[in-house]
Amino acid sequence: MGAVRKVLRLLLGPFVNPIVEKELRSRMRTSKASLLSSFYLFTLAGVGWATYVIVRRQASGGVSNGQLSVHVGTTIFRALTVWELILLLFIAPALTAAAIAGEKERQTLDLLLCTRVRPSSIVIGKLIASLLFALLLLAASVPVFSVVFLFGGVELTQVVGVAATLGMTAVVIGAIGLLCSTVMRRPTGATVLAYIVAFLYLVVPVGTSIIFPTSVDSRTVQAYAMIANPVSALASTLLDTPIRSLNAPSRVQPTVTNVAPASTSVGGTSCTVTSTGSFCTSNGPNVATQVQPTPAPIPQNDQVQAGLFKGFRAWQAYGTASAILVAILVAMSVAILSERPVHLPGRRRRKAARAAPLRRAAETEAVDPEPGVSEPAVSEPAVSEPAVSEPAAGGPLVAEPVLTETTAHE
Amino acid sequence: MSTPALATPEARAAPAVLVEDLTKRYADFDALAGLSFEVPYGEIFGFVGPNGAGKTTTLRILATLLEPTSGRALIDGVEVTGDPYAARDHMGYMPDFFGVYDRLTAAEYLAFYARCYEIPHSRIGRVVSNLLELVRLGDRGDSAVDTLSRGMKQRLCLARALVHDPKVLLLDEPASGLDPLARVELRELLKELREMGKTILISSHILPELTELCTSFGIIHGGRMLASGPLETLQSAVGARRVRVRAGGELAAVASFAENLPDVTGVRVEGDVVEITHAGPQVGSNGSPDAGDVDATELLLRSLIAGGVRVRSFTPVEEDLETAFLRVMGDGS
Repeated sequence: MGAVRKVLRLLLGPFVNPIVEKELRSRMRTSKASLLSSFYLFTLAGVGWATYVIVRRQASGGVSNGQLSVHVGTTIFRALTVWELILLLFIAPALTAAAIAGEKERQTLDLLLCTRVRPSSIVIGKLIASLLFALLLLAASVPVFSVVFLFGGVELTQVVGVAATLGMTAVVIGAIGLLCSTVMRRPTGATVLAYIVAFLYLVVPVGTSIIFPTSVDSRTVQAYAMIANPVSALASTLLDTPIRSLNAPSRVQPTVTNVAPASTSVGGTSCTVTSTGSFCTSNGPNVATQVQPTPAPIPQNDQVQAGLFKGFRAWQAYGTASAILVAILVAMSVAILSERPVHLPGRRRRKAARAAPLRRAAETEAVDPEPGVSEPAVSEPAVSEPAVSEPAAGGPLVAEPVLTETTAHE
Repeated sequence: MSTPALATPEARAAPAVLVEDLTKRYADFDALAGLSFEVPYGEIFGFVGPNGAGKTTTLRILATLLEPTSGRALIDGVEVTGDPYAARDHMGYMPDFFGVYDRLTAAEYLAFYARCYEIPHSRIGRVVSNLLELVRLGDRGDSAVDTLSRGMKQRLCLARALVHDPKVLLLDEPASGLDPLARVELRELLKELREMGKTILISSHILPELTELCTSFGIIHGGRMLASGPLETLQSAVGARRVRVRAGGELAAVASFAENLPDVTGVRVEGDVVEITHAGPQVGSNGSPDAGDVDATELLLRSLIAGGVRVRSFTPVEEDLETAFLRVMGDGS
């Protein structure tokens, strides 16, 4: 037993810091955690089921069962992936945004900072703890995803790619939330900021590539931004589906595009579009620019064509870029957290201190630091001699009232 | 938890807390303006001052949470600015708020901090149960922290500050917001801790909270130490005594007679009472301060009677430290 523990500790050592343990404990004790995961799974299952119903109905005529099955499988897989991404984007910022700001609000951050725990352990611990929860959600969704294999049309490597991309997305958004959490004082502010930043992180690269499509070259900043963007990474992983499908490598490609028109003409096309979402329409061009250069006559797989990540699969490139991004975000959070002075509790005093005349400020307990502003005032340390000169061997200090000097304030 | 540095007699002779010429400047005012004091081992030091005097700032600097602008502070011989992580091993800090996590039990709460202080896993269970026993929460170990009463939370936080068995305890306003019973419990606890050899530094802006608790005091105002030492030293340092006298005859005459006596600094007629303020002699190096004080009052009574004043009652006004403290504050600002 003891030996097992030792081995476990050796393996998990870096991940099991006290912060992780405490966070997991208190997080899983709320009903929020179970409600959230239930909601997550229910909606995910709902989306899967709805996709199935819609695809079945609209593709009922004129297609062989095998083709239909593949079509249903890929469509459900895409729908589930998109929905899971959306859910993650909504959940992940909230998981970490409160982490450190919450400690500030509860005033426990100071207590933590005056233990032996390093700021880096706090940041990494908080990140790991919330990611483990995101991981739990992802793992819980595996049975829902497994439905896809009943229909076929999805390769295992794609599932891996999607899972890795989603997981990495959770990490990046988590790190963004954590940085917001160290910057902001209140959990609410941190959460709002985290959503804004996460939104920008998602939308800006996609948006710019739509607005300025011509400037996209895999060596440009924008191209790298696309590589590091979960939407485009998922898109290229997903749209690759038919090409490397297990069942019919060359014939599935037409299936996807043809099934719909073959069935109920216009309605069919829009069906495909709705189930894979705004996805196809909005991201088609980006994916093309990034992964499949437009002139390519033969459909290629989702490998990155040029640049630093040349030859990487989309999810691999995304994972690597994200890892770098996370490292930067974590380093920034640690730097902010390590910077003393730490804020004092009781923010209201700050304004009072600034507004009120000096003496009043001093008397309303306005011992509020102005973080960053306080420069090391070099008064005259050399001149003043050590004031406490008599050790007195445990005896009481001799009192020397300096009453008159305290008027210096006025 | 003894460090090699402490083994040397030289380090042992050093005070538990040494603050030298500490200054802390915020954007527009000085929170500390050259604060110096020391607390010998084994003392319970009351750190008294009005709000904004710089108590919390000082404690936070000692707790390594705040960088001083200049000056130095040592805890148990370790410089807090030089080596904060080492200093943290020597002190436990309890801020003026609880800082508890909900959804953790009291035992888990303590275990969490024990781990934060890198206490070996094998010892944590014992440390936690001992501490809970010490702060009389032995039966509440499995209660959620947020279900505890204020006094219990306070004691739990004290236990938290003790998790790594530090030599010095820094308690910021520990008694504020506690009911009298909880206050008594806290006092008993602190006495027990003192017997365990802890040096304790308590801040408060309410003096009576501390008078029975502390062995010595420091009065801080405007970021400076006005006076420090045991209660008696402070009282004599603060100086003046008052005596209320009832006498037969013309009060005005008594008053004018008293005014001319040596050491008398003020005389006031208040209804049928003459209030005489006199400067008691400073504490002599030989005798106890009490003796000196009584002598001064005696002397006043003798000279009044000798002067023919028909003294009916002679009541020295028991000036507690708070009154003295308020007066000092008044003079100071």
